[in-house]
Amino acid sequence: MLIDVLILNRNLKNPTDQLCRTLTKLPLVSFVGVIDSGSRKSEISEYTFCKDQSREVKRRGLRFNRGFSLGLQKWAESESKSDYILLLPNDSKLFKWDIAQFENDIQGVEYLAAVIPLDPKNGYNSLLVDTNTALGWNFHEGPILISAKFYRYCQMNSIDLFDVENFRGYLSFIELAVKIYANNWCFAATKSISFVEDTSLLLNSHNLIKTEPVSENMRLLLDEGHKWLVKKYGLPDRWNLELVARLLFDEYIRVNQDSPLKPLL
Amino acid sequence: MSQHCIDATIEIANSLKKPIALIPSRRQIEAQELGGGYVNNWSTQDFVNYVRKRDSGNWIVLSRDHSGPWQGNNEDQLTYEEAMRSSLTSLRDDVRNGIDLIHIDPSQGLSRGKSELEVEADIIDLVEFSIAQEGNDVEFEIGADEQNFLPESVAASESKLQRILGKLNQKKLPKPLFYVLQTGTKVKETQNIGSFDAEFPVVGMLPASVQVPEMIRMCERNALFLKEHNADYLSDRALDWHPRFGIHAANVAPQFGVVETSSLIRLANENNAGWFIEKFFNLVLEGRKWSKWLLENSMASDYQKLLIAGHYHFSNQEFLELRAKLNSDLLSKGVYLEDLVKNEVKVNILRYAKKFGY
Repeated sequence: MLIDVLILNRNLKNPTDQLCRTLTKLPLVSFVGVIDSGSRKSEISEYTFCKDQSREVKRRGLRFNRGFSLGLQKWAESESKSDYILLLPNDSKLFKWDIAQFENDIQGVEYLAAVIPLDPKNGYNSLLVDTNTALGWNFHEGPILISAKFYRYCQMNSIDLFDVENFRGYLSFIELAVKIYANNWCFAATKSISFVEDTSLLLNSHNLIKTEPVSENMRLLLDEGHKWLVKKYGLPDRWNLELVARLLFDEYIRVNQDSPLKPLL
Repeated sequence: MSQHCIDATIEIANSLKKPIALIPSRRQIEAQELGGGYVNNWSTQDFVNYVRKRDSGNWIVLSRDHSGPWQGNNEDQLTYEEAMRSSLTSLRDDVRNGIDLIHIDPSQGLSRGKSELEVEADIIDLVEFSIAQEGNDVEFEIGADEQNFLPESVAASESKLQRILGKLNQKKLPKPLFYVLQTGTKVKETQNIGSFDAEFPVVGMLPASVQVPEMIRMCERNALFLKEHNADYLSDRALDWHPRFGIHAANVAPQFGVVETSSLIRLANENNAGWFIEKFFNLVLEGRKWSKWLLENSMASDYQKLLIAGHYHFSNQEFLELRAKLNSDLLSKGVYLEDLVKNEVKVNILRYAKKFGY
């Protein structure tokens, strides 16, 4: 198994380069590249492999959905032979990389679309008692491993992994779960690989990053996100989209009872 | 809980003709033998008599929250034997006074070195004791919702439940009606900070939409109802989802006490009764009952502390005199203080009743 890593950077060259240096040394990591999201010249990472320097992106950034959609598109053009693409915000800090265990966990799971490396504080950890990796559907946006096979399947079937119209990425991973289970693939969480979010970067450096302060960002995420949810699906709240994802997940579990990965709950 | 809260609940239940439970803790309402509780300084018998006399349609389910050792007033320093003895006194009084539903909760033992199995054995003993007090008509609620517990799998909760049900069955004791499980609610200050109503992940908690449906299935498999605790301060949307998820019952407190305090302060303020607010402030701040509700690194102002803990002082003699004076001052201006306060409590209880489909 080989893993390529894509990191989204906006105006934080040093922490991004530091993260890249750490990741390039990890076993089974074959490539580490940075997607630049309209950074100032001096803040562009030395690991940058694609960028958007348009005036609009310089002003607002790319954010998760646009950034990684661009990165994945460029990654596909590179004809990489890796099996997974790890998508990381640049405020991620490596906590655990037991890749041999992870390989063992997912052995025999043919249609694994994506995996969430769990932050050690995530409540799901306490459910992973007899296993390190299990299936779920309700994950918050953050680091994610995308299966190259699933990404190609999406390309072939004109499925957008992430909605670029959902600028701040509200419920992006719930929507991803809907797409995954609707196509009879599965979505897992693991504690064999783990990253923590370095919240201090956004808290202390939002001016440098050229983004909104955390509280303003959260307000806009919810405000714009609720509008996106109503406009796209006609759903009045998150629980309705979650219900769709849960029902598709339940159906997947019912149909795939012999899956080597079991549900989290 | 307060007299207004009790009156409002009786009125709502009787006008909607739907059952609503009044569920005081042992600190709120307690056996006379143990000194009574802080709500109106009532004993269990006073409380039962008061409600039964007014509940003309018999819609109120008289319940007991957290019956068990170390759950009563001033029990923190007691040994297990002492705390259990006090708990049995309270329980016997509940049964003899005709409490309909009792939450058997010896879970405080877990933070005092008791094992899960010992706590489960206490549950059986407490149920057995209740039945022995001619409590054949009593319904039980089991399970605990300690807010510092880590989420556990539904399978783990189910195996715990089945061990208890098995032991109850062996002793030919009745099966509980409700099982209390953590649904993602958690009350601090005047907010619900749990995952149920949160748009962002809450450390150490699971999303409600993941765990609640599974818990309900588990309860239904075992022919029990799911009881949620700490349903205070939830948004309308979150409450809308309670019947959609199929949550069978929920406890709300202390929100209604906070509403009563806030209403008293607002009316005092609107009627230039600053003296009342100042004295109420001093009483509450000195009482420090707000401290257990504060968030870690809390930024709560003194005003918020007053809101959080005002209701703990409603039966304090000094407060009763202040309130009586405020009432008479306002009455002379044509303001019916107690009616207005009760009405605000009622509006807040009604929000829950309506959202739960009443």
